[in-house]
Amino acid sequence: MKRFSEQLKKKAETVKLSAIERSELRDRVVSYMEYHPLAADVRREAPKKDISTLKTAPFAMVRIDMVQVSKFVGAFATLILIAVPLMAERSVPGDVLYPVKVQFNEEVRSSLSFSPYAKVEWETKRLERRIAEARLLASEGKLTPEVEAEVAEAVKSHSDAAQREIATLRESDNDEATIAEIAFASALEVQSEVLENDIEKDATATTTTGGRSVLAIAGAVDEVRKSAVAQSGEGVSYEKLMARLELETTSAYEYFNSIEDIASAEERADVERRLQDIERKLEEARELKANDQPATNVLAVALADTRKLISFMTNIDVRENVAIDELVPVTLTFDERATVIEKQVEEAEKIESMVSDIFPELRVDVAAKAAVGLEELRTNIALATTSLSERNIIAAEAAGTEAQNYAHDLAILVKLDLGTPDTPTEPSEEGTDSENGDEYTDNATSTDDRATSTEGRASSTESSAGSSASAEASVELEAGISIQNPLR
Amino acid sequence: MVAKGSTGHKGESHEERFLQAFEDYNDALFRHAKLRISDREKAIDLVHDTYTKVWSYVRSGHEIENFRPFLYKVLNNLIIDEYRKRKEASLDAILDQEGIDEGLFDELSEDNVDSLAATIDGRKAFEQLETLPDEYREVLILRFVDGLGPKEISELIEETENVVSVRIHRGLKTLRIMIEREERSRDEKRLLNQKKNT
Repeated sequence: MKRFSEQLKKKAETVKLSAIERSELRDRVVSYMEYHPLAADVRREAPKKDISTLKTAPFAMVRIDMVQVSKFVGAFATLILIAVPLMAERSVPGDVLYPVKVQFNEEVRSSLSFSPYAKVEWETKRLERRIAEARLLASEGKLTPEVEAEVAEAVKSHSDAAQREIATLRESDNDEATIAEIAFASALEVQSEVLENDIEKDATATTTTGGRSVLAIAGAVDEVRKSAVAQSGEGVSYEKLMARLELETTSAYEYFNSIEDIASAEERADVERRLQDIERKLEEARELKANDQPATNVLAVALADTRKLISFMTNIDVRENVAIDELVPVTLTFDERATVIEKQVEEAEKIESMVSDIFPELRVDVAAKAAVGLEELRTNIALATTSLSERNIIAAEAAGTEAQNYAHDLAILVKLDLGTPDTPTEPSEEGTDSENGDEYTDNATSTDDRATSTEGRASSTESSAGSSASAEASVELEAGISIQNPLR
Repeated sequence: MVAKGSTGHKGESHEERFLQAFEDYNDALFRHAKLRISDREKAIDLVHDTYTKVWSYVRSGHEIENFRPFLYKVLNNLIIDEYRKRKEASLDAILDQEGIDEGLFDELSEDNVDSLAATIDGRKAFEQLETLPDEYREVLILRFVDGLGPKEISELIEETENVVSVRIHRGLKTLRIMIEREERSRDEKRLLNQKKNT
């Protein structure tokens, strides 16, 4: 045996690669390796047992690398559970992933909010999202009537869901339900403002191409808004409302601080003013409460204002499309209101004195009317002044407004009597125009009249510094007086 | 043939280990291929294909602890493929049809193989290898040229050890018969030549 195998082997060893063949073969193999390099992860891995060490067929054949499998499973799960929903968040109606967003992401979040209040909030949020999507599509001109109808339908269903939750909530906790309702109604109000602005913009733009209109959605929002009129604060516990307001105002201040860096000084001032207004309302409510008067109505208004302010600060759509004044008008302080009344009184007094001055020149029938008017005007001025001194702001405001109205009417009456047609040319206060007019007037009029005219003009120039309404009246009056002369 | 690559591969890169396996076994693989298919160029190609296939296996993230049996296995499969391509009507095919019985008792004994082998001249046997059916040639080369044990061979060609032993035994017998026939014909030729000369 030894001999045989030795001989055979010796013989066989004459069969071998030549040096050239071997180096060529080596080059081929090496270049194959270079063209097919190892993947980075394979390169680093520690040596593992190979299947060739497994002797029996069943084990050798079925060998699944569980590390690889788990990697794939992990990657797949990540894709399905995280990547897709994340991508879906950005989708709009008509996108492939949109159903994922609406029927998976949002439903999951729905089921995660347990309290009815949180559910109402989430339904409100979903409603806002639908509208935001529709507006996005509209801004790109892609809003088809079908999609619009769908969104309108969604708005309706989210609103219904919110109302249902509020109803459920009311059974257990009336106060919470009212608060939720206030929040819901203010959110709807904000959205409706946004949509209205869109429609206005659309109307001013001459090129109304298809797919831009959000009319149907605005209609739907208006409809649900009507059904969800904010409850007045009647019958709600003061403490609950106050507690909710504390929460909301705290977050409002937080948002305010966070936008401090990015907002312009003007915007900051606007928001700060609203925050101060809300603080004053709270103060007012506390006073009312201290006097055992119902304070919850004031609180309800304050809560609605706070909600709107927060959505103004947090929602870029709202911020860009709605002026803050439309959303939360400035609430004037006592002093500011007093100043307004004082101005009104001042203007009214000016007109009163002026009308009294030219009273003798008036026609008889007009003079009779003017006399009554003057009487009323004087009473109101007096009333406003006394009310103001008594710090009865509401009465003073009423009297002041009355006085302003009388003054305005008187000015018109006098002007009409002086027989001036409504001159379409603006009786402007700009230098050159009125200068020319004056020259013309001076040349044509008698010396007697000139005195009156100058006086009238002087008084009206003074008054033009006042509030706009009375300024307008006095400008009209001035115009009447200056043109009166040539007719005489 | 000692499996050098099978030990101390810690710290070596896959590339280094693979190239080492190339250096260690290219000659043996080539020899095996050449003896099996008698075509030098084709044999070189098969060795090349063997290495590229094994490299792909490494690339797909598998770790090969011992290259030798793996390389032989791949090469053997390639050779079988090559035979199928050629579709030679050989004794091989006929044997396949017949099937292989479990063999006689004396064919299963390693001692008998040894004693049988002792009666054969290795050098002459080598010359006859080419004409031997591949089924026998395969096991004989693996056994006597590559120096694999019956167990290793059985794993490689996926047959039981019994079948391997029987094949080796019969292969040797066939070889002996062929050598004897060769010698006889040579003798006859010689006699014939002598007659002519005289």
